[in-house]
This record gives sequence, structure tokens and C-alpha cells, in this order.
Amino acid sequence: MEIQLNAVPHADRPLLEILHLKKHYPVTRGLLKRTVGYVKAVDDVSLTIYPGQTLGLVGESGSGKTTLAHSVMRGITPTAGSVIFHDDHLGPVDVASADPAALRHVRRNMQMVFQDPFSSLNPRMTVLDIIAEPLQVNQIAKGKAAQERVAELLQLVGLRPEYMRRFPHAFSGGQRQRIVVARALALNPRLVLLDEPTSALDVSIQAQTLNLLKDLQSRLNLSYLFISHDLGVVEHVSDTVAVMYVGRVVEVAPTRKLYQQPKHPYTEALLSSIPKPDPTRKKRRIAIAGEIPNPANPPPGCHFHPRCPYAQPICAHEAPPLREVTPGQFAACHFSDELNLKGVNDF
Amino acid sequence: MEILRKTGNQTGARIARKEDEAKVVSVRRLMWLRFKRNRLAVIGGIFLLLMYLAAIFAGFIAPNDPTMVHSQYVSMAPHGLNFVDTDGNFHLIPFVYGVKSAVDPATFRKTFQIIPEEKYPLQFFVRGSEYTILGIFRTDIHLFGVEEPGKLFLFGTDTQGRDIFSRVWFGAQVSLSVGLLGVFLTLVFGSIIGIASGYIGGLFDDIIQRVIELLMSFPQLPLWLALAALVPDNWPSDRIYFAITIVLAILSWGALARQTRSMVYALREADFVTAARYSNCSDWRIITRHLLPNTMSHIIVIATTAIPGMILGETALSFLGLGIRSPLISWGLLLTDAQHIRVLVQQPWILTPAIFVIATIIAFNFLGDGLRDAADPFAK
Amino acid sequence: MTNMLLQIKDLRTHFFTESGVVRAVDGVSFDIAPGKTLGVVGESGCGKSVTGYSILQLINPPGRIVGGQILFEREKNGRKEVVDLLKYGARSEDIRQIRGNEIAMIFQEPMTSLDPLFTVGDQLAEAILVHQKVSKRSALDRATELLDKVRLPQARELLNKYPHQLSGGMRQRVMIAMALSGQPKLLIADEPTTALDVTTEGQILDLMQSLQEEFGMAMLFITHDLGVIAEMAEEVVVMYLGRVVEKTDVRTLFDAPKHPYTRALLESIPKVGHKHDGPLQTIEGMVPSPFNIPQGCPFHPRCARFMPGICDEAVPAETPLERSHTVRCYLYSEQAEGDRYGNPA
Ligand SMILES: Nc1ncnc2c1ncn2[C@@H]1O[C@H](COP(=O)(O)OP(=O)(O)OP(=O)(O)O)[C@@H](O)[C@H]1O
Ligand SMILES: Nc1ncnc2c1ncn2[C@@H]1O[C@H](COP(=O)(O)OP(=O)(O)OP(=O)(O)O)[C@@H](O)[C@H]1O
Ligand SMILES: [Mg+2]
Ligand SMILES: [Mg+2]
Repeated sequence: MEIQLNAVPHADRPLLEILHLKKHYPVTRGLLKRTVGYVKAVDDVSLTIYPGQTLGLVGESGSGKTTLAHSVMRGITPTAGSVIFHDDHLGPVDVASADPAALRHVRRNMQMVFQDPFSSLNPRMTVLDIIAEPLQVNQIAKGKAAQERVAELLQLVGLRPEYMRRFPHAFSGGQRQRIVVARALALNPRLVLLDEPTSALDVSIQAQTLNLLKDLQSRLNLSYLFISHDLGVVEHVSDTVAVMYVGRVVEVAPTRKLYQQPKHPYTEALLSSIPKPDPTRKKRRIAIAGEIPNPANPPPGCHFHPRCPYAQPICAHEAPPLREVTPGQFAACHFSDELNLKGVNDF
Repeated sequence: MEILRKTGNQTGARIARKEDEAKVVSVRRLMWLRFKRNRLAVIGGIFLLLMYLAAIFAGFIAPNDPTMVHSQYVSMAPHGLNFVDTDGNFHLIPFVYGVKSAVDPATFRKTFQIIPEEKYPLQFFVRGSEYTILGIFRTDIHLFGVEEPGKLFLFGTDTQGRDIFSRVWFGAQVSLSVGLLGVFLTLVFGSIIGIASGYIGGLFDDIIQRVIELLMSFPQLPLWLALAALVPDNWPSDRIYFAITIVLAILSWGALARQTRSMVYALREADFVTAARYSNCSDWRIITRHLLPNTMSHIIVIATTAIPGMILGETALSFLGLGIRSPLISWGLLLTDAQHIRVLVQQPWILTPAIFVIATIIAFNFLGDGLRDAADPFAK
Repeated sequence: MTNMLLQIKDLRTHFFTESGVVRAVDGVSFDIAPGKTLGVVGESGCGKSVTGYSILQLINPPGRIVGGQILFEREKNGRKEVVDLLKYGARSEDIRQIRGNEIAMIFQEPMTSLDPLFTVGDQLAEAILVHQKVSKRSALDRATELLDKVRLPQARELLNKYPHQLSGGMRQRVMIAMALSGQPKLLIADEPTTALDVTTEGQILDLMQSLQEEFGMAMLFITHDLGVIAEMAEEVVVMYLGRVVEKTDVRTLFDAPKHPYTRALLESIPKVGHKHDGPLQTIEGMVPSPFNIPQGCPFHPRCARFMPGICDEAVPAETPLERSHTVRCYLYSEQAEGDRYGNPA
């Protein structure tokens, strides 16, 4: 069963295809580490990223967003599924099963930016050493040439090249995140995975960082996987948005569609929960009861059914597949066609 | 009322100027600033520096040959420097009296009496017995001393009539260096095994951890004794010295390896290490460029705090006769005389070396505290 | 003026650290009416939490409240009287009576204020017993009641659980239950939902609103999220580097903000449901180090409407506009603050 996500008209062929990706962590117990079950951190996720586009990934904590990103980089070896990177030279490469040489090559084209700008930089290295490291390791530039490239990268992310001899502790959170972005861009990647790049930053610094990321994207034709739990930020930066719930993607759609006409009750619940900066629109939340289930022991059927205001008996024992509900919009709900769900501006 | 006045937007330039004022401080400098804040640590550090210097120049500081037996002056109490003589006259340069021994007719014990007419003023840079510094420079100049036949026993003499003051400094050579050498061995063993264990993980890690646990669950002293007893009696004293340091190191690398491992274990998951891996850095590079520099300062702190244990270990072994043997001198060896309560009661000055042991241990602990603060210069 | 539950006047709390003095709160004034919610917004480090802690005198060295008044209307022996909380010592019996009983506080990370070694029931009962002379048994009954109030299902079983066995949202509910145990007149909530997920955050915000109505208490709601402010607050103070830069009702804040900082802050957040492709408005630079607060208006180095020679000289005075709206900016008045350092106003 192959999901065709390419129904949206795109001029290019995809850059990255995540196909039926799974990462199950064993839950062990006792002295002998007996496996008693699995945390299905990522459970059969398929997503596609196109060149120059941003795929936003939202979901509450523990839904598997970070695990997904690290599986794409193969910092985590997936349990099953494939991650096809369409490389200019090598053609399609399955990152999940690539040999070391191919993996090295693909990793130059895929880089990652982490959530915490304070742990992302080695405190004992200068900014120059930090950004030049990928250049040296991949034998792209050394010495003077590397230094010039670092200066260029610093300028690109809006920092002054004179800063390159400083240590990370001399920078604020926002500046550090710029350094992290500069390091990620050092190898001229095609795809950057951004794991909550602004959630540790102040509001005023967040806007600067988002503008920078968008600007770099259009100048360098970058593709982004933008992970966040801030729905406002994801809406602002994404072309397409995927919503995860307990390891599964419940809805993928072009941004405007997802926010205005969601097709999954969980998406609707999320949209209604956002505290909106508009005092005239007070209190019209869809009260969804309960808490996010424990991913080691999720409810059967549709994981969302115990909290879903529209749940029917079938939801408790049959997991709905992700299917195309309207052109380009995919949802995993038995009743997507019948339900008339509210968009973000209807609350 | 609104003031309407157009202003050119030079915000960016203004901010840039402000930022320039922030100084470029290296991590090392931050550490030094932090260390300096801890007064006791600085005092401890200076004290230890002086102790080590004194140990190196022991021959220069000691007025007497430490092995020389002054048979007429056995078990003599310290007789110090005087500024004021028996007539109440003040002397700018301190002097010592000549001493004559006599036997108390009632108790048959040897007593010493000063001879008020014989005054030997203290002299600096006097010639005396020959000695070498670091085994290289041979000389016979001593920092201070008195002219023959005067005798200068600042801390008294031991049961064989040797000058305790001089022996303390020569003992320091062994006792202080045992700590350093032992810790160096610990550092090398412990950090290599710790880093490997933390970085490789898995079964290797499990095995290493169990071995360390086994090692650490033995009571220390008996194990030391057992190991030290294995050292053959007929070995030359310098070989025994190395054997003892190894014995001390064998028992302490475990703790260091453990702590190194847990640091590496945590750092391995740090985002900057993941980022390095994602940019194709080799394991070797990750260890040497990312893990080692970030753990080294902590490792050194742990090592510093292990030195006092080593010094005490050496003292204990030598005290029990299983450690350093003559002709080498160590603080532990100096204290062996104090094993008999009778000696202790009659000649309490034999315990003077213990004061040095205690002071050194305390100084190391102060220093360790300061280093611990400094190792984490970003902590609040 | 109508009677106020809490009036803060020119509060100053400074931290005397080894690297210098941090003027974390430097001349903050605002009022809270009974039963109303005052929101405090501002970026990280602007002094929101320190303001909250200062009210209950939970400031530890090297911090010290160096000036101001905190006037609180309390009922004593059936009579209303206004007391200055700062007149009470930080360890006095009076302030202890007020803490928890009349003014309660909840924090961002509930785990730090729950003891991991005791069960939820123990801790709740303990909180009740401190303020009320009842038996342990009836304290536990009351605890169950409170857990019901914060809509935690199966309250009885929950009493025997340890904090780490609860999810973040449940812990925050327990914290709220604990805060309500003394039926406070004022609840200080320091970013109570920042650590929570969107759907949980929504639930907690709803809960707090309905409990506020039920208990008739006033709230001081601290957050950096303007969305949360819009939902929860009636009056808002905007803080920047230890000072209140603007103070108004929530409608005006979003419709007609006056201070350049408030305006910039509002424009820099992406508005959900209004996607556009252009860049976001930004505030240039970053918040200065607290050791190095700029002279004059603290916002002037980042301000798009900076007027040289005016803004960088003296701190602007708090200027009243219409109704309860005040702003500290030279765009609205040339008046500088009557300076406490003896400089001419
Ligand atoms: N190494 C691991 N071993 C076991 N379980 C893990 C491991 N890493 C993650 N998990 C579990 O997998 C699930 C998904 O975690 P993940 O970090 O991907 O979530 P997330 O969506 O990124 O959450 P957040 O928003 O909090 O960052 C969680 O339940 C987590 O507990
Ligand atoms: N114990 C302390 N010692 C020194 N400075 C402190 C201390 N506590 C707070 N500060 C300083 O006081 C200032 C205000 O801190 P506060 O915690 O009130 O900020 P905040 O507005 O609550 O920020 P956040 O949104 O990050 O919680 C900061 O500059 C902070 O560094
Ligand atoms: Mg995550
Ligand atoms: Mg705070």
C-alpha cells in the first residue's frame, strides 16, 4: 500500500521522501533487560519534502517529532521504512540503509539545527573552529580558505565576522542560534532539519530568527523540515504542515487548508486551543478532555478516540489510514468526509 | 502630547557599538577568574607550591644531612633559636646555645642542658654536608646553619639522633611526589578507560563498570596491605617507591574512570556532539576535540582531590612498615618511631611530621574546592 | 479611586551579585482590584518573576527589596485594613499567615515546588493543616474535594500517588489545588502554562478562569505569551528591564498600544490564522545585559523612534493618557522621572 503524497502539483520531483518510517524503542524491565513492550515513537510515518519548500511538523511533546528528525539523519537507526534522499550525483539514496560512504555524502546535503542553542555549541571551541569543523572534516577548505568561508557564513546569518575568535559563552541565545545555522549551512546543504529552532528564544529574537531562516531559504533554495509546537510560527514559515499525534501523522495539508479547513478532529482541537492574541475572541475552545496518552501504551484504534468529541464505536478498534480527503489534503480519520470542522479563525 | 520628530534609524549601528564593549574572554580566563574568587583555594595553592618547592630544594633548606646520626644528641627535644640570652641581652641575629648531655642520676635518663657561654649565631648560606638538587646540581651550600661544633635541631632529633627538621624536607620529596606520580598514573588509566567505556557503551561498558565496582567494594587498607606485601623485600628502595605508587594508583583509578565515564556518557548525547557526528566527524575527532576538552578540567579536579588520599595511603603503608624503606625517607616512615606510646609520651616532637601531613591534606582539599568551582565557569 | 486589593508603589528589588548590582525590579507600580486579573508581560529577564516573589517576600540574598510599598487590603477580626506587606519581616508570623492563606502562588515548573518524596495527598493535607486547624482525616477529605475542583478524575487514588507519577498538566492542577487550599484573595501565577502543551495549556487556562469566578479571587498572571494575556487578563502591564513601560486594559493594549516596545512586541509575533509571506516585524538587537542597563529610557538602543539627546538622557516619567492607560515614553510627554539619583527632572 503506497501513499501517493505527490498529488499536490509541484514543478520538481521530491527532495526527500520518508516512507513508512518506524522507530520502536524497546521497553525493558528487570535485571536481565527483558523486553516487555515497545514505545512506538514513530509509527509508520510517510512524508515528502520538495526542493525550496518548508514542511512544518507540529505535535505535542512526545509525539515523535525529534525522533523522526534524527531518524532522517540516521542518528537513530529506524526500525523499519526508508528515507529516500534524491541526491544530484548519487540519485535516490535510502538513508536508512545507506553504506557509510553514501551516508557521508548525504549528510553533507542534510544538516540539522537543534532546539537548545546553549548545548548546540562546544563551549571550548571558538566560533571559527565550530563553523570551520565541517569544512575541514569534509576536506572542503582549510586554513585561510576556511576562515574566509566562515566570515562569509557569519555575514550570511547576520553576525559580524570579527566575532569569529570569540567563544560561544560571549553570545546571547539568538546569536548562538545564528551560529548554529551558519554551521549547518557550511556544507551547502539542500535540506535543513530545524528542531524547534526558536522555542528557546525570546519573542523579539524569535522574529529575527524566523526572518533570517526565510531569507536564507529563498537565497539558497533550501528545503526545511520545520519542527515546532507553536502553531503560529509553523503557519508563518510552512508551505505544507503535518500534524503528529502519538507517533502517527494524523493530517498533512497545504498550510492554509490545514489552518482554515482542518479534516482531523485533533487538528481542530489544536487550533482551538491556541491562545490567540486578540482579546475580542475570548473563550471559545473545544474542550478536549484528558491527556496525551502514554506512547508505550496508546489506546487501540485511532489513538485520539478517547479524547475525540466526534468518536464513534469504530474508532476504538480500527486505526484509520491516512487518505486524501480533498486534493492535497490527507487526514487519518474515519469521518473526515462527514465532519464539518472549524478552522482557526472560527473560534 | 506627541513629539513629532523624525529620526534617522541608526539602531543597528548603535547596537553594534554596544556589543563591541563586551570583552572577548576565553574559557580559561573565566576559570582563572572563578578560581581567584575562592580565597582558601588560593591560599592552599600557594602553600602547596611552597611545599613542593621546599621539597625540591630540601637539601638547601635542611641544615643537616638527614641520614647523619648525631650519636650524642639522641632524642633531643627541639631547641630553638633565641633572640634574648640568659642575661637578658637582646641579639639582633638569633643564636643557639651549645648543649651538653648528662644522665639524670635518679631516672638514668639522658637529659640535655644548655651551655650559656656557648652561643652560635645563625648564619645564612653556610657550607655543610653535600647534597644534590633534582639529582643534577651538586653543592654544599645550605640556606642557614650554625658554625661547628654548634648544632641546629629545630624540631629535635629522633631516637637515632637524626635531625627531624631536615628529615621532614627530605621526606616531603617522597611523600609529595608519590601523590603526584600516583595521580598521574590514575589519570592516564582512569581517563582512558573512562572515556572508552562511556563512548563505546554497550557490553564493554557493562564489563568495565562491574570490574570497577568489584575493585571499589574491597576494603581499601587490607587490599593495599596485601598488594604492598607482594613487593619483594630485597628490591632496591627506588624500585619499591615505584611499586608503591602503582599500588596506590591501582586502587584509585576506578573512581576516576567512573566519573569520567558518566561525564562522557552525558556529553555523548549533547547536541554539539550530535552535530559533529552529523557533519561526518570521526570518532577520534569527536573524542579528542569535543569530549576530552570538555571533561579534562573536571578530570583534573577529581585527580586533585585524589592526591590527599594517595599521600595518606603512602603514609599509612610506610607507617606500618610496608611502604617506603630506608635509605629513602617519607613522612610515613618518620612517624614509625611514634608507634610506641612510651616514645610518644616522652618525645612528642617526633610527631612534628604529622603536622605537615595534615597541613598538606587540608591545603589539597581547599585547592580542590577552588578547582571544582573553576572547572564549571558558567555555573551560577 | 475604587478600593484596590493590592497596590504596588515604586517597588525596587535589586540583586547584589559579585559581578555587580542587578536592578531586577526598578520602580514598578500597579494595582489589582478584587476579583480581577492583572497580566504581566515581558521578555525573559525583565523582572516579572521577581515582582511576583517580592509581593510574598520570597527574595533570597543576594537579592533585597530596597524600596517601595506593597499595600494589601486584608480582613482582620472582621475589619478591613490596608497593610504594607513590606513592613512585615520576611520571616514574620504575619507574612506567613498571608502566604498561602490570603495570597497564594503557583510556578512554571510544578516539579520544583512539589516534594518528590511525599504523596500528593500528604502534601495537600500538609498545606491545609498549616492554615486550618482540622484533623488529618478532614484535611484529606478537603484535599479530595480540591482535586475534584481542579477536575482531576479519581481524586481518591491520586492522593496516594507521587508527583513523578503524574503528567505535567496533572502536576500543575495539583499545584493549583494546593494554592486554593487557603481560599486566597489573590493568586500569583508565574507562567503556569509555559511548560505545558497546547491542549493542556488550554485546559489549565479554562480551569483557572472558572475557578477564579467560583472563588472570587484576583489574579496576578505572569506570562511572556501575548495570546495567554489576551485570554486571561483584564488589565495588563508591559515590563522591560525592570520597569513598567505601559499599563492599560487588555483591549487597548491590542487595539491601540502606545509604547514603541509594546507595538514592536505585538507585531513581531506571527498571528495565527493570518498567514502572509512577508517578513515579520522585528525589534533590533537584543535585551541588554542586566548589569548594563542603558541610561535614559532602557529601550532606547533598540527603539525605532529613538530621539538622540532626549531618550538617552533621563528615564521618562509615567504619563497618564486616557482612562487607566499610562505609558513611559517621551513621544507622549517631555516629562522625565523625578530622579532618585538627584539628577534634575
Ligand atoms: N532513546 C529513547 N528510548 C526510549 N524512548 C524514547 C527514546 N527517545 C525518545 N523516546 C520516546 O519516544 C517518544 C517520542 O519522543 P520525541 O523526543 O521524538 O518527541 P517530540 O515530539 O520531539 O517531543 P518534544 O516536543 O517534547 O520535543 C517519547 O515518548 C519519548 O519518551
Ligand atoms: N538570584 C538571583 N541572583 C541574581 N540575579 C537574579 C536572581 N534572580 C533573578 N535575577 C535577575 O533579575 C532579573 C529579572 O529576573 P526574573 O526572573 O524576574 O525575570 P523574568 O521576567 O521572570 O524572566 P523569565 O521570563 O525568564 O522567567 C534578571 O536579569 C535576572 O538575571
Ligand atoms: Mg523534540
Ligand atoms: Mg520568570
